[in-house]
Amino acid sequence: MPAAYVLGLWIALCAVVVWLAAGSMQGLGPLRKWTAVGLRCLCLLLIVLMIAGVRVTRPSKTVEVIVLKDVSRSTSQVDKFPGASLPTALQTYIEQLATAKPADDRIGVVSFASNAQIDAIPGTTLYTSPPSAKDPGNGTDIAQAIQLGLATFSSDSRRRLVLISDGNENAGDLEAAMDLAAAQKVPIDVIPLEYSNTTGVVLERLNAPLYRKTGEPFGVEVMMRAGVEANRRGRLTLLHEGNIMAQRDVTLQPGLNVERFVVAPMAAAGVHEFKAQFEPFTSGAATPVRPGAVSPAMLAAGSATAFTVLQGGSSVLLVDNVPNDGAQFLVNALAHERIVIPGVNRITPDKLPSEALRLQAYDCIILANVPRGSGGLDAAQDRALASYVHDLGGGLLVVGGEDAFGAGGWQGSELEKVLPLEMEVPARREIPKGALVLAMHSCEMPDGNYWGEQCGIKAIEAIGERDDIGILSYDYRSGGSQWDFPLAQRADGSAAISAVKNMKLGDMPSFQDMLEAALNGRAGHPGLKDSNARQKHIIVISDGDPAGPSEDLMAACRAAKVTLSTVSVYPHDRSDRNLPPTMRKMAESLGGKSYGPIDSNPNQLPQIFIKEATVVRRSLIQEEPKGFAVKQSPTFDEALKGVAAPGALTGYVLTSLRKDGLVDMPLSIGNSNDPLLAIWQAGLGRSACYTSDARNKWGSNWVLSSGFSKFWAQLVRSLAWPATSTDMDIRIDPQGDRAKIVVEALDANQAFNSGLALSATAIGPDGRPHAVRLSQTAPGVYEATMDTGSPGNYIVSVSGPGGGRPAVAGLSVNSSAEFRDTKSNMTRLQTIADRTGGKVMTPYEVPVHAARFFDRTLLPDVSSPLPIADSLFPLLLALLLLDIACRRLAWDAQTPGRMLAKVGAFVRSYTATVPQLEQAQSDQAVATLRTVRGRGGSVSQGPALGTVQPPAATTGAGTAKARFEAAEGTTPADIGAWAGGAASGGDKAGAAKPKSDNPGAMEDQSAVSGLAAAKRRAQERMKGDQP
Amino acid sequence: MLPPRKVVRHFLLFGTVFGSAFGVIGCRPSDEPSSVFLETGAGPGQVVYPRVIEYSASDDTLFVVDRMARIQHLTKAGKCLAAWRMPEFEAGKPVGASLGPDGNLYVADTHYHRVIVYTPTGAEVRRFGSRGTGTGEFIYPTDIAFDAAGLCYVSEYGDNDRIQVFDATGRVVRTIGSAGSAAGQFIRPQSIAIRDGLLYVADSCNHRVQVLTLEGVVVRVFGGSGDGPGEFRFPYGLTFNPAGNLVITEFGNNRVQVIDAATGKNLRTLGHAGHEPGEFAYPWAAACDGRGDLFVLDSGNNRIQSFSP
Repeated sequence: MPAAYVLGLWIALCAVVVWLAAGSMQGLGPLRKWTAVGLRCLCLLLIVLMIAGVRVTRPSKTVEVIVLKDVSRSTSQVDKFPGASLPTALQTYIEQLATAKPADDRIGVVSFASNAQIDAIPGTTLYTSPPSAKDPGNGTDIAQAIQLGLATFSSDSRRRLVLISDGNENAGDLEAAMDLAAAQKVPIDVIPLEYSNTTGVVLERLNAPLYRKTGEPFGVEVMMRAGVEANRRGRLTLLHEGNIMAQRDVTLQPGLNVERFVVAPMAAAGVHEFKAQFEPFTSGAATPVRPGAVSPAMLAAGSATAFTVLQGGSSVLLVDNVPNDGAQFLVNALAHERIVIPGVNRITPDKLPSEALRLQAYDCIILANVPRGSGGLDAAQDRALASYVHDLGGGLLVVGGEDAFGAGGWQGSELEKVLPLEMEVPARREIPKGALVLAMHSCEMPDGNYWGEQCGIKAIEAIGERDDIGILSYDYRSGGSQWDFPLAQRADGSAAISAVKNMKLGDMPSFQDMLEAALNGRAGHPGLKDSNARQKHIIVISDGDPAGPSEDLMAACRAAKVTLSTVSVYPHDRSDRNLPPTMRKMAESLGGKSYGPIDSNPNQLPQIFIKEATVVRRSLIQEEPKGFAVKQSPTFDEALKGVAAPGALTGYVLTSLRKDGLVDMPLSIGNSNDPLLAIWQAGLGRSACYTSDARNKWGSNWVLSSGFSKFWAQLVRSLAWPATSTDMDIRIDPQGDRAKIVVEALDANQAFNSGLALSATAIGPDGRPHAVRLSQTAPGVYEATMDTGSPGNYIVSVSGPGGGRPAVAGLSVNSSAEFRDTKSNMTRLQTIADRTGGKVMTPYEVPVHAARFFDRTLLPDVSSPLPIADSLFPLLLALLLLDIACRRLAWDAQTPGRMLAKVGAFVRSYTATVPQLEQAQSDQAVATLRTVRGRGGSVSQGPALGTVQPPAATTGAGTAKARFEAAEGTTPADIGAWAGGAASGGDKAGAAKPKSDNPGAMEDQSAVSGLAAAKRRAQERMKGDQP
Repeated sequence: MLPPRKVVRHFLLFGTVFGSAFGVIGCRPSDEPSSVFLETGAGPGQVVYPRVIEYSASDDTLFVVDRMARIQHLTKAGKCLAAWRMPEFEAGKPVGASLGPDGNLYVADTHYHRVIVYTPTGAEVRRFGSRGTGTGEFIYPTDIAFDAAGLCYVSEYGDNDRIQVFDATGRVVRTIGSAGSAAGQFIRPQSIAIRDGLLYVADSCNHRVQVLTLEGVVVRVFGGSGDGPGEFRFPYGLTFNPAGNLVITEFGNNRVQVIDAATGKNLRTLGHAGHEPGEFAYPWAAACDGRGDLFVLDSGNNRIQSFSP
């Protein structure tokens, strides 16, 4: 609250107090009245200050310097530094700076690349954390480093940032960060990491056509940029799928160079990868520099990659996870109908490309009994397949088996969204449920809580709505394992996921306690022993440090048919086949698997949890030796006309039909008409699911029938995408960190097709599709831009107005933005220094730097406001008491003096020696006698009171007092003087007290009559004042 | 109305009486910490999940080891006198240490299965032990203690729960106990101490304290799982106060119990779970100075709380 408001409010309140006091405090007299008013005004001032949140400021005494250290990839091009390497040189420099600084000043370190992190909290002694093992990424975010540095400063010090960087930033809002630092008056001094890669050669791009037909020759071109001082002689190599295809020695000109190669006709359809490499010759030599002799930056910049899809005939990819070579039935059936799947197109799940671009070569992909998670497809493959179907128009056939659909953990996957079936079973079906308990132990791993959360969420998503889920972790408050989510039905999973997100993983001391809680329940919530689930499973994630469970407890688990798998993360003990013995022993004893060790690859953790969660989903597999009847839908799919449906099948995986009008279910199975075959149009592509298998386990009779081959061939043909659209041409032009998408649309007459509402889908290296809106810029020309900051493959698909296969284009970004700049950006560094009041310094001059960085005269004073409202409260209380005392106690101007005199006398009575005391008493008695004697006849009125009795006169002093007994009762002031003087020697003073049956009543009477008289006088005075 | 002198006298009289009463109450052991020090961080006087505390009587200071593998030599007010880091710490950090009769700090380098001996200023003197279950080898050494004869006792766990006794030359004199729950067996002997010729073992995962002769004969066992007085839940820390009573730090119950070493009877209980002063989160260990001031390592709160005797 502004001070003027505070003052105004206080004055207003004081005016009210004064006005009220004028009417109600007349009886106090002017001194007491105005004192009370003053005290009340002071109280009001304190209250107003407290409400306003008054603070006092304390000037800063210390200097705090935070060093922002650039560790991005581009700094690997720096070649001038003291010592063995740049990181070592910078670490040494910072340590020397910390040593050279004044003892009370503080220094901290923030390192940054694509993200910023605190390496050393500001302190008087530099204590750097161990270097992070995190990938620096493909960016440099100076803005984030500045913001983190500003946020890390203490509030009570003068502050300075020191930026050590090459100035090549490509992420974040540097302008805003500089403004923030300037606004906070924090100067940023800059120590440049200078380099000028004039000696290098950068392969900017390898251009290859995205589509060509098999047997058709085509050319590729390599675009290279050479520095002015570069050793421009070297060997350029073109590799195809890792093998040298062509090689030539070249002499480059400074600037951009283009070298072209002609690729001989190739017969194999599919995705073909090309890579160009340039290796400079050593000076005067005719052979390339050894790869180890060039800098990582040059190696990274010295290669470029591109892809070409060769189309020829029908190309089907089979992802085979069928045991005992069972997929051969399907391969033979398709071959019988002239759909040949060559050996290279029959792959295991781990070989499936994780980029949608690489799936472009296939007309249809078949997943045969493929699970999700560990042993199946990972998250990237899942995303790529979904994009292949939905965004690129590919065809997908999913064939069942024991590890497929819900039993394979596909619930909640990206792929499920493009399938005509849902993995959740229909509500009307009564199937045995499963029960899963997740036992989570905090591990000493980076981002441990995050990964724990991800594991929990994936496991919850992978089980069914009617399955039970329970989550256990160690709770330090109870000193044992507690339910974060008690064992209960998963339902939609939101409650369990919420519990996972609120989970606080504790330091578990023993697995015994955890296993007891999982088995027997805890805190009134039952455990697996009391569950009616058919499959009961526990997944334990831990570093293996907690003490193992007893054999009795594990026997009890076995008796309750509870299985257990373990996941060892960052284990300390690897003595049992690279895993902690406790973890392996628990899993083996309870019939589960032991995964790990998970060290630097936590990405696989969620996959393991998905895989393990499906253990409780085995009840989705429906098997009947006599076979389930197969029913054919009246709306039998066009593509399957004339094909005989399978007869009775002995097994399938239970799923439910997607509630969408586009879904067709030509075949159903069993009395409940569960889906057997379902087909639908998913985005631009088509997908189909067949919930039984295609081998001789569940369809032993059918594989021998004549219709088996035709069924599968027609199904695959119906899914494979139509002919390539020819009415659109897409071009992608890279422009720095972005690329321009240019689409030229023609109509059937080959005239420009304008006025179309086109939208494109761009899929980046992360595999996630992004919608891109295209705007018409010329007749038949549509354009848009997309971000291409990360290295990798980009693919853009545009579906034409007439439907059909979408037009697709691709772009390979070969090097990250980190290597696109061949020299440090001194201009930007100078701007940072200028805008914030800093200075660009010469590197590694420690004494000069320390003198400037920690010079407090160069830094603005920073005062830290401290709230003092709490401290004012006792003062307010004291003032309130004084105010009450001021009004309730009768006092006048002389009272303070009398009180001081009494206090002085009291102190003297304790500090004076006995002779001094006696002398003082004697002097005071004599003075009192003189005073009384001097009053003469005025004492004659005394006896009128008639109630005072003379004290017993047993001593000489008493005899003397008896002579003046009447005077003692009439002069209260003299009584006081007397009592404090001559009679102050002890109990004898009591003898002078008037004797009465009720002395207190007499005093009250006297006081009341006195007050009444005073009141009368005051009223008369007031009347007299009135006009 | 009483005369002023009497008023003064009465005031002095009652003041003396009430003052004395409050003084007596004030001198009674308080459950509130007399001080709370250290804070979270990587700097001097800062800690991240400290798990070891050891009192040095020679200079009235403390040694603290945290989960950044840092050993800090601290004053009793938390000021850092010296600090150093374990030579390796990727696999894990120490959970036990003791000052030897030679004045050096013996650190149980738990996850490297060895003991490293440092001077009080951090210079490594020697190291012994390696991974294994044989004599002189360790699996997760947890704590170290010394008897009057100078023999060194090292406890360990990891299905190899036992206590090995070393002489001054590093030769194993004897081995005490094995993994299990019977008397004389241990599950995670997290902390050990020796006093009056007896070996006290915090048998953590059996939730009890075992008292043995120095030869390994069980004298008595007390405790048991629970949160009542005299019961324990994961007793991790074990030390003695000057009065000869055991001070047990309970990881599971988030409290400290002062226990009669002879009977196992609870004499005093401090703290409960929480983050306020007087409350604990994962207390791993405690140390007592010569005056009986108790320093509790409040690990989960990254601090030390001291209590008057």
